Amino acid sequence: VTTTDPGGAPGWSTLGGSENRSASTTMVGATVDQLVWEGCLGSGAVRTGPVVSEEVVDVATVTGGLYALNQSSGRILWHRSVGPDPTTPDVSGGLLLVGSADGNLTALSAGNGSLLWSEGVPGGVAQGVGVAGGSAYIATVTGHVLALNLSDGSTDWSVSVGAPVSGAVALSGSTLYVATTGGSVLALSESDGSVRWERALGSPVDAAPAVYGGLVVVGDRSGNVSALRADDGALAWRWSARSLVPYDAIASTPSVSPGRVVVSTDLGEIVALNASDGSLLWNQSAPYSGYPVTAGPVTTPGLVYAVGGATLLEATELSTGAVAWSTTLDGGSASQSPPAVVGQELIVGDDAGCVVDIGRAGGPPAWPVAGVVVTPSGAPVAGAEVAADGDGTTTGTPGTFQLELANGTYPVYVDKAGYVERIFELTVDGPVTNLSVVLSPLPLFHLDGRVTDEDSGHGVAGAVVDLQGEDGYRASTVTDRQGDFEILAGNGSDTLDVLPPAGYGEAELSVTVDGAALSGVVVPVAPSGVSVPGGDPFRLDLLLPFGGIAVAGLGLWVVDARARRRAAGLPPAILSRFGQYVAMRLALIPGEVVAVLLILYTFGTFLPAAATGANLCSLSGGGCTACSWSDPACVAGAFGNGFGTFLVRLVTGNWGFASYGALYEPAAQLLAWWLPDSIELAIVALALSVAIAYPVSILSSARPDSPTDVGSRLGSTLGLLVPSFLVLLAIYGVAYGVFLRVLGDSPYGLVPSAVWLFDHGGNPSWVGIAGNTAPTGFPIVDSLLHRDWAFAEIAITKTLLQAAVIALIYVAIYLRHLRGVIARAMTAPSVVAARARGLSERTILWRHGGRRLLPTYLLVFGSTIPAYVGAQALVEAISNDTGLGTLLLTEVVQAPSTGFGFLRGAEPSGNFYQVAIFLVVLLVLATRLAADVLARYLDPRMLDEVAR
Amino acid sequence: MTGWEEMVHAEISESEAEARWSDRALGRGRRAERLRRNPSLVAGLLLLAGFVSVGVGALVAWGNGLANLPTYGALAVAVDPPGPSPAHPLGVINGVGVDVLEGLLRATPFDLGLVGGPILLAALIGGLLGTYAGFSLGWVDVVVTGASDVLVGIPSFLLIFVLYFGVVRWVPIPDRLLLFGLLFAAILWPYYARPVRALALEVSGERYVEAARAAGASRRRLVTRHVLPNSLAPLFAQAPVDVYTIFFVLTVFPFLGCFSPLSTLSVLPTTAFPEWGNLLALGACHGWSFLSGIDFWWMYTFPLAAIVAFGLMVSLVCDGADRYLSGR
Repeated sequence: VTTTDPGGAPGWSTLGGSENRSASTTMVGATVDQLVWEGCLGSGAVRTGPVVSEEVVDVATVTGGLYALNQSSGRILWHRSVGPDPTTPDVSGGLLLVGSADGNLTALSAGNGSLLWSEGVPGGVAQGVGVAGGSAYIATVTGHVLALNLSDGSTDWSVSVGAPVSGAVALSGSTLYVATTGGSVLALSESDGSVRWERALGSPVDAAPAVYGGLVVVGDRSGNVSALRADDGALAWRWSARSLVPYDAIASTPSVSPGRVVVSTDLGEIVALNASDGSLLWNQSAPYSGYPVTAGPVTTPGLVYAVGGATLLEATELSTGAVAWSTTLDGGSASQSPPAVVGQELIVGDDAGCVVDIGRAGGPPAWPVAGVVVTPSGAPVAGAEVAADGDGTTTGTPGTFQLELANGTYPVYVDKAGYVERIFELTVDGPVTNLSVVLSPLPLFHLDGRVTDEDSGHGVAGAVVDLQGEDGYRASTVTDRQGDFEILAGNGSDTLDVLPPAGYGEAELSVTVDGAALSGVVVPVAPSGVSVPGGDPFRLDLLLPFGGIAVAGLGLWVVDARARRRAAGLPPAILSRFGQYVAMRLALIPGEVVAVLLILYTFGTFLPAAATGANLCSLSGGGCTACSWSDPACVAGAFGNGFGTFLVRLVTGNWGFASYGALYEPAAQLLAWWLPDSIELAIVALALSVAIAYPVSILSSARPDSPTDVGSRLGSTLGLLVPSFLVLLAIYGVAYGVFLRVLGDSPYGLVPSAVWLFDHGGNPSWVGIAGNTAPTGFPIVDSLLHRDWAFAEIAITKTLLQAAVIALIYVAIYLRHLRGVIARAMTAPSVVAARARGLSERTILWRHGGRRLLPTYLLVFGSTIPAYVGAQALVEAISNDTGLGTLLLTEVVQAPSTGFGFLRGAEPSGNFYQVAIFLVVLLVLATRLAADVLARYLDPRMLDEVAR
Repeated sequence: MTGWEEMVHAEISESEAEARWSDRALGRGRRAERLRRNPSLVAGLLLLAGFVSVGVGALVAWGNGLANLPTYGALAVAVDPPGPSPAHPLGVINGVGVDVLEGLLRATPFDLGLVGGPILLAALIGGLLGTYAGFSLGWVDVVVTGASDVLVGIPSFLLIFVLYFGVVRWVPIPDRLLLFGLLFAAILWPYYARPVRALALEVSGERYVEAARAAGASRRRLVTRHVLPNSLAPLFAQAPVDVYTIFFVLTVFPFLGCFSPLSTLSVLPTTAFPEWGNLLALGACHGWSFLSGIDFWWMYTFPLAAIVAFGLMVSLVCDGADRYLSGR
């Protein structure tokens, strides 16, 4: 059995370099990005890893071509067709084994490609083949691990591992290790396939495990890297990529080398962890950011290689995470297998169907030329380009670089944006170790300014400002929350290109820097026809039809009521008793609204500002003469001004930005995206609550102290006291496995989740970046409109699950408030009369009691609506799903660190958490009003109770 | 007048109202008899006595160092954290490395104060203001009704957030728990005052009050002897709900903070502060993840049990007291 490969002939004969899939080697690898050869096969993309053995490179293409190339020249030695979507080949003892998606495992002679045998494997072979002793070990897409006899392909044994496998089997000692998409890692005996241990990880694993140094390391779709002890499967440590990037996942095999585990993630991170405890050593994301790094990384003692960002091949220093060199692959790469390392070369295939050999081949001896780039004052310059004779690199963090140059004299070119370019002659006749290059900075001057909204004059946050100087100098920055930016500009004429967030047009401005810093540059940007900063317009006009219907209904009702009063011979009145009640309630609303706003402003903005002695002018957004906190008249004026500004911003929808995960959008925009989700959930959850509360309350009121009554009382007490997030997590814990199995999705997170998207090849076109759907915004409705059943399935299931939890929490609160008042209904005269008429208790209970209770239910609903809003907000937030509740709690939770109202820069007189709370209060007031009015409409006797 | 006060007072029939607080007229024997027929009250009082004795014990044992819950770095291990064992009878919460039993014991005095205090204070303010408002119907009534209309309209967990973080910078750190309790009482009193006011309004019109007035009782005597005692039933219905309200804030904010590194949202001075809700949040956060299949049940079960027992105690005492005083 091959373990690591330190002593033997240089080779990379299987997936991950050796049968233990550790993707690490003691070979040097490519320390420079010099192209040795490139050969294009013209047979479709290369998406498997090349393998190298005995100076021969074997590589398979997606169309099923298997090619053997000469390692030093790239010349094709032989080729053969082996079936579609082949796996990474495995070369061992003159035998080449390769599997394919059509379910064949083929054994060829490694020397000339002649067919030795081919064996059908039901379901197709997973990513790679393992060879040890006289057997080939493969995992299948149908969830089996097979041992095949190398001589004739006959099956020695076959065991089921319970779930489909998409990665290869790893071998170490006499044990096979396999990770399944069911989220388990299993250790099997090599001799008979018996299970030595099994460990559930809880999340699907899509690639082979890496076995090294007594650890089995796997990455899963939830972004966890788990290290299990190879001997008993106990969890040694676990680290989550989601601690760096939300929703990240891992679909490749980690690379494990002495002391280090390196993983690449779906969202473009390369991460190095300490192999002994899983602590983070470094992570590197910039060049890959947002692009999946689907090929697992490969480590040599000095470097990490990874393919990502569609076209980028990059080598990173293993100890520091600094980029050693990087190059682009012309065809791009979606390879799922790591590149091969042999000697001082790196061999990788790309999507254009080409194989590239990078590193240093033979030729004249090249000497390392190492040095450092510094400023005249001696400070190191990182990121400077250094190039000579076709070899080029970029200086690392301490300004160091290394080139490989043969004997001769070369012009050396050193440059970095913002510095004066340098070219000098260098004669090489041996290793150069201490070359020092001085690079003088261009004269640069501070330039600061603000990007503003042309109409309102307020700052525009998140705008990208690109500066181009006369000499090709470029710099770029992004405006902060106040819309301010600061940038270094070259002397002379500079052009500022401003790319504001959505909702504004681009702008360009020329400025002249004349040997001194320049400040106060204002770049106005024009809103592109929207009323909300940076987003789709808030479609208030959609509410017009509802308003019209409401007005018409009210009119009809007034006419009808007056006619009835006349018919009944009642004295004409401007308003009926009911009308008077409605008018009284409506008249109270403005007072309540102003009081709530005063509380929000005083406690959310004014008092924190006073406590820190902030500039009083900042309350009203500037523009007043400064005065002190010791002057009461001035403080009162500032309070008034600030409150006025707060109100204006609130009413005009100027609510600033809100963030959620990676999203940073205008608050009104997020609200417009997510409000329909909350409404949808509320409709389902309230319906469910009614379905539970109605029968339970009637049954318990019918027989006080009956089991139903005691049960509902106990249930509601427990429901109140067990925190709702625990209820939620308990339900999710139970539902999680079922969800994954049945729907291929996690019940937790945005709809659809990253896991689901991964399996369904990305978002449907009608789903936006924030999980917002088009055209109606209601995910269930939209998915049905688009006939996307898979999406509808998860949207409905998640909504039902969340609604069930909300109903559980809310019904507990509701019943608690309902207790006591409900028994009265059963002693009402109508019930007594019904009983006297000899009606059955059942009829009395459901017909008389139930009907009479309806207005009471409405009243209790009106008074418990704040509790309902709280329950739904919490469920949305804990589920990490879209909705007003998530937005509200995220803002509230972040408020102390992002700053309260007055601290939040661009919105000194308000903060979105205040707006969010105010919107909730409006909702509560409106619902309470509606519930109370409706209750009195249904049971006019309640008007008498009020009058008394 | 909007809410459900009409319903709450309506459950109490006139005869029941008259029977309330007539306990003084009863002999010692009848009192004992009524106590025997009221197992909720007995059970609740026994639980209360248990909590108080644990609290006093903790105060005596730890004194001024009560809040300094030790965190053992050696126990904050990610793999195989110690469960219930002789050394740690209720196990250990990893991540912070806190002994669960010690945390729960130290937390008892704090929770009795943080949860019991605001409820008692709110019930006191709400009961007095509500009774007086319902009886006098003057400007006090306008203030009580208006203030409660506004305060009850804002979900209380959001309101406490706004108020607490609005004034917290003015208050030195050792006094912030007191501030939290006082603010919670300031938020909760309308929930008591509204139904009490509605009941007092009705009671003020009852015949026995008219009779007392005709007999020449002073206003003060009318309020304290007749209206007030007969208007307090809603307090017992509301108090158990507020146990939930306060624990919601104490638990949910630390729990959300556990996932959001941005969050500094806690009303407690330290992360590992001995407080049941906080311990529950820490336990749920470190002891349970359905995503990774981790389940260290002892980390959240025992704090949860403490909270449930406390809530059950308040429920039993309130239901029992209501039943006892109304003579049912």
